[in-house]
Amino acid sequence: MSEKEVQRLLLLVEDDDDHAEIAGYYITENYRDINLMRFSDGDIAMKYLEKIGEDEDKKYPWLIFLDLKVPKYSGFEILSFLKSHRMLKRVPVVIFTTSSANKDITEAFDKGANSYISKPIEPEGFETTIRQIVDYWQTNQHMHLISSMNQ
Amino acid sequence: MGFIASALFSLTIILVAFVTFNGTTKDFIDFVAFSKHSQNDMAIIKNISEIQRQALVFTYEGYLSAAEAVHNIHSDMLEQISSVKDRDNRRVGVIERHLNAYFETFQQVEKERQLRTELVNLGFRNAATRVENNIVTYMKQLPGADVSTKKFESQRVLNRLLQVEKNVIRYFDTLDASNISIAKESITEVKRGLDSFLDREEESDSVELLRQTKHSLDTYESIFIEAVQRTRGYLFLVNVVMAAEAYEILYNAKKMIEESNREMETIEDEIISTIYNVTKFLLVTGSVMIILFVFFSYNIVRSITEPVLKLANTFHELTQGSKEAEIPLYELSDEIGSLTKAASVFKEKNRETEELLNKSLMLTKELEKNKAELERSNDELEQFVYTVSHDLKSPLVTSMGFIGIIRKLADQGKMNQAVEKLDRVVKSNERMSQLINDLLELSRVGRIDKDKKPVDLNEMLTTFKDNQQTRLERVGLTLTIKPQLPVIYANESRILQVFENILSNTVKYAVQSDSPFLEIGSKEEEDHYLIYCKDNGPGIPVQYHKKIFGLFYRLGSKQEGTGIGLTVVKKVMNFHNGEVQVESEEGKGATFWLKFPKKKE
Repeated sequence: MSEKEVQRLLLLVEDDDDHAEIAGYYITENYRDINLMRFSDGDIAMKYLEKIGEDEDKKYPWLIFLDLKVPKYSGFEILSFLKSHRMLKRVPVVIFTTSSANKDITEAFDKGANSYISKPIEPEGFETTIRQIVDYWQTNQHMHLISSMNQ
Repeated sequence: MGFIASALFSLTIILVAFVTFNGTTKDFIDFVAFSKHSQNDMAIIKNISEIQRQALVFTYEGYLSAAEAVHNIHSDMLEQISSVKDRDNRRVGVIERHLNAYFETFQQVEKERQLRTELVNLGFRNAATRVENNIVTYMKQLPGADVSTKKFESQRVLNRLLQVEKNVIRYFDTLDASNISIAKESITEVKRGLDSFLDREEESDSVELLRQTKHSLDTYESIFIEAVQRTRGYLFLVNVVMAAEAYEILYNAKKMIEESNREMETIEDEIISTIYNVTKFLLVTGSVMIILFVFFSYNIVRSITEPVLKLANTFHELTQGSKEAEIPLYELSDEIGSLTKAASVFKEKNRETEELLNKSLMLTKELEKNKAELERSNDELEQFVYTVSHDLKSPLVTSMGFIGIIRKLADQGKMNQAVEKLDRVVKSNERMSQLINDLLELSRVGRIDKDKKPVDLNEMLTTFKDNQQTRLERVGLTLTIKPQLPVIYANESRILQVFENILSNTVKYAVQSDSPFLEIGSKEEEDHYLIYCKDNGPGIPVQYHKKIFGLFYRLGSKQEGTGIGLTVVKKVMNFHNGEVQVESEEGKGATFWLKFPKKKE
């Protein structure tokens, strides 16, 4: 990755420490320019998200990985908040969860999720999935939008 | 009944109309008769005028045709009178009497006239001629010298005599009384002339002649007087007697006409009043009949329609499923009776139907209850499967993820790091094993241990405290069991598990507070016992008070445990028809309330 590129902020909302560690490992291993920020429960995530645009140090993320089963505030509650927010609704949200239940998929897209990926249960699956997600969003042109929002 | 009454009324009206018509017809016949009478009366009046006229014509002119006319009219009138004689009217008699008198008088007049005519034509003329001849003879006998004077005087007497005759004839012609006086004067003059002749005459022949003449003259005069008297007599008869009779007849005839008219008027009035009365009667009876007819018709229709309507109403109620519908009591052997019977059957069926309906309603309710229970357990199962699949997958994802990383590190030759990560795989698998065990435990609640019996909580919790002693000491937790706890009806091992899980939660968070404690006590309410477990831990924010009882729900990802403990508590409490609730504020500890019903089920 070229150094002149601006650091991309990726928010990972994940209560499971192991899952967070695995995801973080593959992201930092493959994408040096991504600044990963992890929230272990809904409450912490919401507190950060609500302050974006107010606090200098809290930037609009480039991409959000959101688990559905997180303590305190559920993934859906956070998703609703994001997609009803004036600026945050522009940020792509990837639902990254163990659930592959239809009702969760439906509800996620109803509430404006940009993507819904189930956590893989194969040894090599994790890396493949992470890279596919990040690569895909990398080909989108929204980075400039996020950058201008952060100006 | 009504129809018969109506028929009777109709018959009455027809009879009344008939009788009235007959009466009117009779009246009309009378009326016609009266009008004929009055016509007759009019004819009588006309005839009496005519007869009087003819009589006068006869009297004055002496035409025999007039007399004949009087005779004819008289017979006509007699006929007319006889034709109205049946009228039993005194006036007819009066008229007849007067007519007879009149006619008799007329006959007398005729006779008188005849006599007079004879008198005038024969006696009078003879006497006059004799006097004339005598005077002429006398004149011839007169001597020559003074003859002229005597001759002259004789001529004058003769003239006078002629004057008498002329006047008499004129009188009989005109009946002018003045002629009589002139005639009389002339006769007196003739007499005087004759007397003067006698005085002067000496010649016996002449005297004799004069005397003869004088005597003739007297006869002449007497005939004349008699004729005049007779004339006067019949004139009196005609002008007074006959006129009076004619007047009487006329008066009576007029009276008769008046009476006829009056009677006719009476009849007319009668007819009019009869017609008016009958019309009124017909109108009134007609109206009454129409009213009665309507009334009876209405009654008849009602007598038919009322049962039908009542039955229809009953059927209407029956069709709406009423079993209280009143069935009218018609013991009739006709269609209405059959319908009544049908209604009874219908009613019975309704009753049966309602019973069946009630039964089926009860069954439906039961079924619905079962269905709701089934749905609930179905939902629970679905939720359970969903949650389990999600949460069981989680350690699997972890294992696989780390295996992937280990492989990658191995490829990169970072063997030490790879071996470190192996421990994470083991932990993940251990966690999976624990999850499966807890799930098994949860599934046991209400499935295996169904035996319930009175459990003395004092005894049970004292034992519990002793058993947990080492665990309590390890975290420095003080467990206080308050005295006078109730005896509840429950499955002992499950209840024990409830307290174990609550204690486990307290122990989990005990590290966060100084001198942690847990106090278990009770409160007795009207129909249930309340057991409380109060700690001084970090407390639970209000928004999580319900969520914490959900399967796999953990307040923090860093806390140990599977998130099944409180789920088990809730399930056990439900199994005992009880409830569990938490009362807490963040940072102020938490109190779990367990509600057990007093009633033994």
